[in-house]
Amino acid sequence: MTPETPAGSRDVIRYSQDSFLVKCEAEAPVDFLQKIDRIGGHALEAHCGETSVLVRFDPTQTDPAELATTLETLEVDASETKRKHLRLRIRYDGPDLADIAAATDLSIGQVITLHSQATYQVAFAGFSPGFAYLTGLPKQLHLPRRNTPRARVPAGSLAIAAHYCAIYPNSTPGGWHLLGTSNAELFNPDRNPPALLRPGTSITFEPVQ
Amino acid sequence: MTLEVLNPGIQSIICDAGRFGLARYGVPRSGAFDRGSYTRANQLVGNDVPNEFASDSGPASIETIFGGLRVQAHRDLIVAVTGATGPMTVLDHDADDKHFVPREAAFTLTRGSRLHVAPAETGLRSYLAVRGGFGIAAILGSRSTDTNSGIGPAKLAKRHILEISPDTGVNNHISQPNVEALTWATYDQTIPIRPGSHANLIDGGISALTESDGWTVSPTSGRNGVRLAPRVLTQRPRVTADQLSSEPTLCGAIQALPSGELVVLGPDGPTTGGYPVVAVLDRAGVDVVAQARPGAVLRFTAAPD
Repeated sequence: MTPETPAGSRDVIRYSQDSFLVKCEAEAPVDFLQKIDRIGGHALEAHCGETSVLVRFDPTQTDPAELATTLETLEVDASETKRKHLRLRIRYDGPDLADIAAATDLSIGQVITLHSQATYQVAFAGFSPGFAYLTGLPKQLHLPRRNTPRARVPAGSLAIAAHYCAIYPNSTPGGWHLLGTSNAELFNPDRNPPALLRPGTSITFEPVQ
Repeated sequence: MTLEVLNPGIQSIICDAGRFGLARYGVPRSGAFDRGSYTRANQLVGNDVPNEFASDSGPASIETIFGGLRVQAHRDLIVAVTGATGPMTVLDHDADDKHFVPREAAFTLTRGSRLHVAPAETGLRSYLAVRGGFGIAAILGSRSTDTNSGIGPAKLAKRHILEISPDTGVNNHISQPNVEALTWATYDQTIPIRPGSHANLIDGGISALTESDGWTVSPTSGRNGVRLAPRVLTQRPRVTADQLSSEPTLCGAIQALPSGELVVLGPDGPTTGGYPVVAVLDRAGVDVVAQARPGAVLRFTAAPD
């Protein structure tokens, strides 16, 4: 895998009056996001999704065509991305453990082992403040969302759905399968950055009783 | 003690231009939904307001829905109310009679007098700005209430006391807005849209939105998003792919739901989403949507390049 993206290969779409959507194909959106942060200049802010990055600018100060060219040709080297590692303690006591085991033809113990031996990466955030979508979930644990979402998922719930893993920072409605609980402070509005899990953070889970 | 909330009406919140740079942590912009009216109210009282694209939170004001807001001044204050139209009255502390005061103009609310923002005749959201702006602790760089996650000041309630900020930039251009005052009747309710990143996933692309008999604002709308139903059921847009990867979004993005409804994402809406974004509004279009009441009809037209 070459670390650098060939110049001019990136798809950049004018998303709104004051933003571009950059489709990331040769690199992870988080690598592009952090590159944008490092170059500074005309991009005011950026945030990423699963396969793309939205870059906002001030059209009264910045020439959109010039910024588009920069975004299309920016060389992104994934090895420059800052990757903070966190180890989070998890009580594997979720109400859906038995259902997950049944759906995956594994024992509950195997589900916990499989889940806690993987390393996860924060791909992007969304849904609610501090809610991070983690990639790295072993394939055997990929399951569609629950048929009936819960009206209230307790804060701190460790959950999985499709190829993602997440911890609910707040009590919200949710349709993911609940595996366990974490005591980590995932979101604190009095801290900046307010989220514990930021794009680029890698995470391992340590089972505790 | 400077301004006391006697009654917040249906919903009153604190708003400024919003939180910036935090969407990557799932924190929405929040802030004034009708940014043009917020800007006008603050310009009327001589507050410095950042340009609409700058990452600057600006002075704190009140955004109130429909009507019913009653406040009392505990010292002389220069105020202005913009946005929705309708009667507004002041009851002076030493007078028995209340008198009408105009919207879209600055006036002095004298010590002890009470201002009543009566139910709106047109439009939905009103903005009350006070010279100096409200002095409230900023959370993550902004004084805006996020009605979805609870970040920022609580929704205003009876007996809430608001102070004036000592550090807001003010100027001497009171009553000289440089933004044209709009009322719902004068809003152009045909809103320009540009094609969204997934316009190709809708049968007909954005023409499914522009060549239609209009879109009715649903009562389940709010600051998260304004839901629109096609006036003619057979004109429901057909989404040709449903499960998409989550993409970053912004206030003003129009998502097409499998049901054929549209959702215009609002300032407190999610920062990423998996529904196809069929079109995106410009800033001025968001202001119109912010003033559209349940039942109002909106139409879209393709924005010139």
